[in-house]
Amino acid sequence: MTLVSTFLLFSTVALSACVPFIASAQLLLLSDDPLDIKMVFSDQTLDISTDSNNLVFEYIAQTTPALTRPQLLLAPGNRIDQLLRSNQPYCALNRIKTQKRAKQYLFSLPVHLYPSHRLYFLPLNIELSSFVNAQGQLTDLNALLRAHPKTTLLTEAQRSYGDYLDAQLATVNKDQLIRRPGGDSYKSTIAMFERGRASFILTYPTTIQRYASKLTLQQVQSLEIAHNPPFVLGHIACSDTPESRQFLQTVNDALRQLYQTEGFYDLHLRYLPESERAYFKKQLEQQTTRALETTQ
Amino acid sequence: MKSRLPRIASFCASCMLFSAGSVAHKTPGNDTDVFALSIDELLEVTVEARKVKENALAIPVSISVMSDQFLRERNVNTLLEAAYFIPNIDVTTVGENSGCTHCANITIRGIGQVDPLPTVDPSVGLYLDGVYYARSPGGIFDLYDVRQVEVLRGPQGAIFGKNTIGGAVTIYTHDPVEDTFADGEITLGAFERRDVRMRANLALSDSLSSRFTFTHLNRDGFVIRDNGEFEGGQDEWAASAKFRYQASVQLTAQLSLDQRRINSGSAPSVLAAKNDQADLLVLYNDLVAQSGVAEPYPPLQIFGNAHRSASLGTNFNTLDQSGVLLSLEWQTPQQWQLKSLTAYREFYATYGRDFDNNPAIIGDTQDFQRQFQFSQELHISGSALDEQLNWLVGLFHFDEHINHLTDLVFIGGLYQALESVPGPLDGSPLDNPTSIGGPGNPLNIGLDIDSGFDNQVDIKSTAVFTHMKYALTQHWAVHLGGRLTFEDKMQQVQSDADNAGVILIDRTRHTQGQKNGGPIERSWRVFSPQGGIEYHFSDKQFVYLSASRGFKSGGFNGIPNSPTSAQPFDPEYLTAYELGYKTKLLEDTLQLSLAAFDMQHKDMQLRGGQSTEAGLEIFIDNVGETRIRGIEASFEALPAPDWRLSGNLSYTDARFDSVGTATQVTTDSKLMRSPRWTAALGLRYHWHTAMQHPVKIGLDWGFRSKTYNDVFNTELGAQGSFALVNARISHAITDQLELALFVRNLTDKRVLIGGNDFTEVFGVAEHYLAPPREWGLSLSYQF
Repeated sequence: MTLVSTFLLFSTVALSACVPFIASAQLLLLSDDPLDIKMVFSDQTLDISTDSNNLVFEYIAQTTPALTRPQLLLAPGNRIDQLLRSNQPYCALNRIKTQKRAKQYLFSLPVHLYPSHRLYFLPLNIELSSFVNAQGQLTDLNALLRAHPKTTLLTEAQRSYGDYLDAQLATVNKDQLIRRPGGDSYKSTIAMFERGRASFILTYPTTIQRYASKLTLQQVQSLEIAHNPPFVLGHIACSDTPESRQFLQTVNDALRQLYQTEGFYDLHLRYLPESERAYFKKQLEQQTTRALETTQ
Repeated sequence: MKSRLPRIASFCASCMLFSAGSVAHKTPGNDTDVFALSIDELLEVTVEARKVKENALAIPVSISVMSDQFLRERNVNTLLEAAYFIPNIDVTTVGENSGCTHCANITIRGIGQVDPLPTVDPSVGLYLDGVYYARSPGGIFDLYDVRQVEVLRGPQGAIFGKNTIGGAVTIYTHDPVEDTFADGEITLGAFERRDVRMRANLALSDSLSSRFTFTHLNRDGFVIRDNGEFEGGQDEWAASAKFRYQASVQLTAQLSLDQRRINSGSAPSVLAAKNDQADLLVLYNDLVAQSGVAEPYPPLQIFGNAHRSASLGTNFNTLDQSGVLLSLEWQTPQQWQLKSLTAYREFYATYGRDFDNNPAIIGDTQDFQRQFQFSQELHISGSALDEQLNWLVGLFHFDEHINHLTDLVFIGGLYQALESVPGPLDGSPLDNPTSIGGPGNPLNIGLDIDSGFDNQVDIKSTAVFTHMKYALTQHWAVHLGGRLTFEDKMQQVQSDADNAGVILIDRTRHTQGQKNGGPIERSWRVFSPQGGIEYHFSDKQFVYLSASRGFKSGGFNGIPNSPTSAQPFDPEYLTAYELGYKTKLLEDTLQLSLAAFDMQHKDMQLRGGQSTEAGLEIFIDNVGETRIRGIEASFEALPAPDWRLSGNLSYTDARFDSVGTATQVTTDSKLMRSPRWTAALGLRYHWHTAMQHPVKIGLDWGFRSKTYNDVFNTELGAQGSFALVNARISHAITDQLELALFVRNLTDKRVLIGGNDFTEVFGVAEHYLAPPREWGLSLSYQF
């Protein structure tokens, strides 16, 4: 291979990689939830994640008026992962920070805290007590599915359920696992579950609250999952570029201030039963304090 | 006195690459020299249409062969793209039934698959490196590092077995060779296309060689939804590794591993026509207006010929597939060739579509399919009687397990709307209703068309087969073959009406012993014979007459909604007679193949109906008979130095002789995906300039006459006759580097890969589109 041809080859490769991105130097914000596209940047309240994102962006708009609000686009989960690993300025809402992801892209301070995934099911003719501990938690998801091989578990493809559950799901019998992809998978998996397409669904309380019918909400039962963190921290994640680092800095500055406001706590607590609020607020304070300590 | 060995036998022997040397592939030089395209000679093409290597021009089968050179010259990357230039074949992704973009539904000579569900088998067999590829998902794949694609028309039951009544498509990838090299290709183009293909061949020792490929294909879709999502895009990667160990001159072992992942949008669809006054839309709107439980459907949005959709619903299409193949070839002391193929393959495929192309939930389908297959083939071939007799015998076993969940939502909310009105629509009492409507009315369940079908299918198939060819004289030869297949199938299915919460069918092990319960099982034993006679005028021209009978396996209704409809159906059979002529003329500058065929199709599997107390029950039954006649011609010529011309033509007259109780067709119906005429012309020219390498110019034209894309022969779902033009120009700038510019669909024809017309009932007709005009620039580099 001659020097000239090597140079020509690599120049072309480099050029080809750059061409599609020349026009996209401005930071873009992504979400995989169509409702976010509708509700974020609106004045409406909906749930913990939407309200917290709105709180952050409203605060930034007031305190940093020079910052142009990034455009928010819908993208499938895998596409978001791909773009966040790229060298172009992209950020995404509502990302869970896993060990693997933390090595691949950047995360803001926690934007919100919400109850973690639970295992939901409509009334089943299955004895669950042997799989539940004294705290009412499901001790072993795999054991439950193995004991009832005719049951199926519905999950959303291309999403992380956190380090513990991702590891559990990796070993579930493939015949019993239905992974539903697509940009509308939050809503659609709940719809599939409601129609009886699967015995169990692994999802957030906020998601089932948001998308399930009243009838389902009356009938559905759920189990907390042992060894799985009881709460999930949602972050804004960004690719590692100067523009996105700058953006994350602005977001983190806003969050440091917002952690000290009642509004930040209120938007979490108003979606929870009264009995759980004190415990949740304590958790929230601990998590934000820990996050601030680790970023300082 | 002439040699005892008849000339024909000598010719055949020279074609049969059985000797140890036959394991030799193309020389490493040929394999790696991607730009050394000879245009001044017509190559002898070796095929494996009968499990052994033979000259394509010396076998009594109507066959089209696409070499890697053919594919590269045309910038054809998939079977779907290649099909426009091959006579009498139609390939679709089944997008109109599923939204899938990687599913293969192949029709040859009008014989295809009406229903893509895995409870129904295909009619054309797809084989990858000799291994049966049983299911539709993943069947459309990038043909990178493919050595050859062979399209065999007509039943191939004796050699290839079940599900080859239309024909067989066999794809062979390159094996590792005893050399070390690498090359790659980057393609940029329309719709943000960014494809990377790379391969490397490494000689690890004198006896061990390996080959690796990697592809990453990425592009945006060309149908854009109003919410910014695309349909028809591509985000796919695939990798393969092969290790070839030459244990001795007689024994070769090869291990192949492959993996592929796709994650892209649904098949590209648009709303082709609408009817806001469709029966079910009007019913729904009247009901919700009466009860106020929901908003009526707004007028449907349609965008004419634009590649635009108002859809907000299901848009996914994924595949996660992996396979492994262990191949052993051993030359026995008697000079017999023993070949063993042990293969395992599995996939998880999901695909779905929003078939109303609107925000309204009029129709939405989702499929979740998981498949595991294991196959073992063993065959031995040799010759006797001074090579007058060439023979092959073999054993085949196939074991398959499928889980398939189909989730259909039609007129979402209709059941709730029916439940919400005070009483039956005809005014009858609610406790004895004669019409739908009213809370608790059992007749409402019939219109709960949010349905789920959970299928589990287990298949075991074992076959013994043989084929032999005997040279009677210098000119005459006969061939004879047969295959005996034993097949066991079992279906477990549960289907339910979702909103009513009613289980319609439960044919699973849980319900064994109950009325209408327990798995559905069926076994068949089928013999598929094949025979023919050949007359060789010389070693450059021969004529043949052959007869063959093949079968497509029986199966089950994958979407049963009542006990009656959950029933198995038997195999369908096709008997074919073929008269063919193949020759080389004009000092080997013209190759010509002609074939005329007459095929009779019995016990065709069609959706049929039967009136019962519960109303009309729909199920698949062996009720169709067709007769298909036609001709196929193809040629390849070197009219002048630096020019190459190729072309083909096919005519097919396919008609139903009988349809029995079938509900979807009449004897006047046309077979779907069966154009009367197909034609193609290809022109290649090497333009010698002052530069070191010639500029290579290629132009291809493919024609299809009108094709009905659905069994109902709807005009809205049909594709009118059209011609597709592709062009490519390439130049090797150095010995290693080649640039190619190509345009597909140069005249920007709107070409359907599928279509449906549901305007009467659901108010929508959908078109699934092939890409519009698209360009690309490829850069290939040979290290």
